[in-house]
Amino acid sequence: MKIADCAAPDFDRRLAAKGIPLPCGPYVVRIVSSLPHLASALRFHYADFELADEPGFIDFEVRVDPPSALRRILRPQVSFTCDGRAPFQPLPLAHAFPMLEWGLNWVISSHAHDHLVLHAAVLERDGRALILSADPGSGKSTLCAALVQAGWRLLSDELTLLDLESGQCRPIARPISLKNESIEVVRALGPQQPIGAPCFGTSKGTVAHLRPPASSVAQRAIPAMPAWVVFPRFGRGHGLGVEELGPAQGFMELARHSFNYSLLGEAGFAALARLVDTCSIHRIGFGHLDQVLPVIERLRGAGTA
Amino acid sequence: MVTPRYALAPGHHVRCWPDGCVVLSAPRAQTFLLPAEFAPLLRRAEALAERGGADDQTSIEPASAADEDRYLRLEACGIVVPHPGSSQ
Repeated sequence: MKIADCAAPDFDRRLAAKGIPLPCGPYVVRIVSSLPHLASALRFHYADFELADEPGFIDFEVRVDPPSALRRILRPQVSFTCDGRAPFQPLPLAHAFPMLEWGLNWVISSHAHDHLVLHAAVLERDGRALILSADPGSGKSTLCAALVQAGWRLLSDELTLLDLESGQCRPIARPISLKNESIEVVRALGPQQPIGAPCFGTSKGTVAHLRPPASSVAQRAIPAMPAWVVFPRFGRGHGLGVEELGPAQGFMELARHSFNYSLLGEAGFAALARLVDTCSIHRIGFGHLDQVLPVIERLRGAGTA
Repeated sequence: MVTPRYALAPGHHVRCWPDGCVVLSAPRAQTFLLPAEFAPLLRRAEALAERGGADDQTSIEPASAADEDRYLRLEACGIVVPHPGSSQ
């Protein structure tokens, strides 16, 4: 049964009691929360995920709840704990869903050391993966959402998991995090974009999440071999600028965007070397999606890798 | 002129491409980007390291003054070390 098919009161009760197991890349995370607005956001954003009665092995136990009974009433707050640890300071109660999403990113980036973990979106078309790696504010998620709208399969909006053995990208398929102006930009991409309620005043400004397409969720176990690496750089009013990078330059840039490259040592070095050996690598500056989307389609048509 | 012979420092790894060479220093997991002109020296140093101590059969072209300077720069970074079989 999918989460969308579960009656809301039943889902909310189960979330508060024994928790909801969710696949999160190679892991299964059990989420527990007594917060109705978080339950509602989960039902919306994870509607196409299967709700397993017997989830099997649970890798991580995550709880999103007020840190104390007092904090339910007085300046209400929410905290994120993973296996009893609280890696972040509490946030205002209204920020529960963004906090959960940020927390799940932390769970993966802090533990997936059987993969090279890159701060990058990754999408697939025709069996080949496009990696979008960038600093925050570079338009990565907006571009990712636009490519999903254009028919690319979402593997991840935030984290690329590169399998150390096969060199393939492992899907995570979770909601796409949108910030500030990008929310309306993505809303304008097409009718009825499944964007959840915006959350105001977070440390990143206004945040809203785009539900992952049902097809991407259904194919979340299918990896893809990377063929293209793009470093997008959005600048308001900027013209289009496309620069092809060599493998060595691409290597250094990707190493900078990796969470665990240094930790992996030789295995990380070999994985990155293989990635830059098999991909075309470009830096693309743009001021509007209409400029960058045709460039990516041209790269795809060129059939690199 | 005495030709210095250098091997890649233990635990280091090298990949060279036309736009540069990337070196991983395994002990501290530092990564260096070097100009592509270092590629011949790094490959030679890597070959010497792979042969271990028994390099008497390894043939090394006499280094130019520029090459010697590059070797010394690599040594200063800890990327190469004098090979036990060298005759400095």
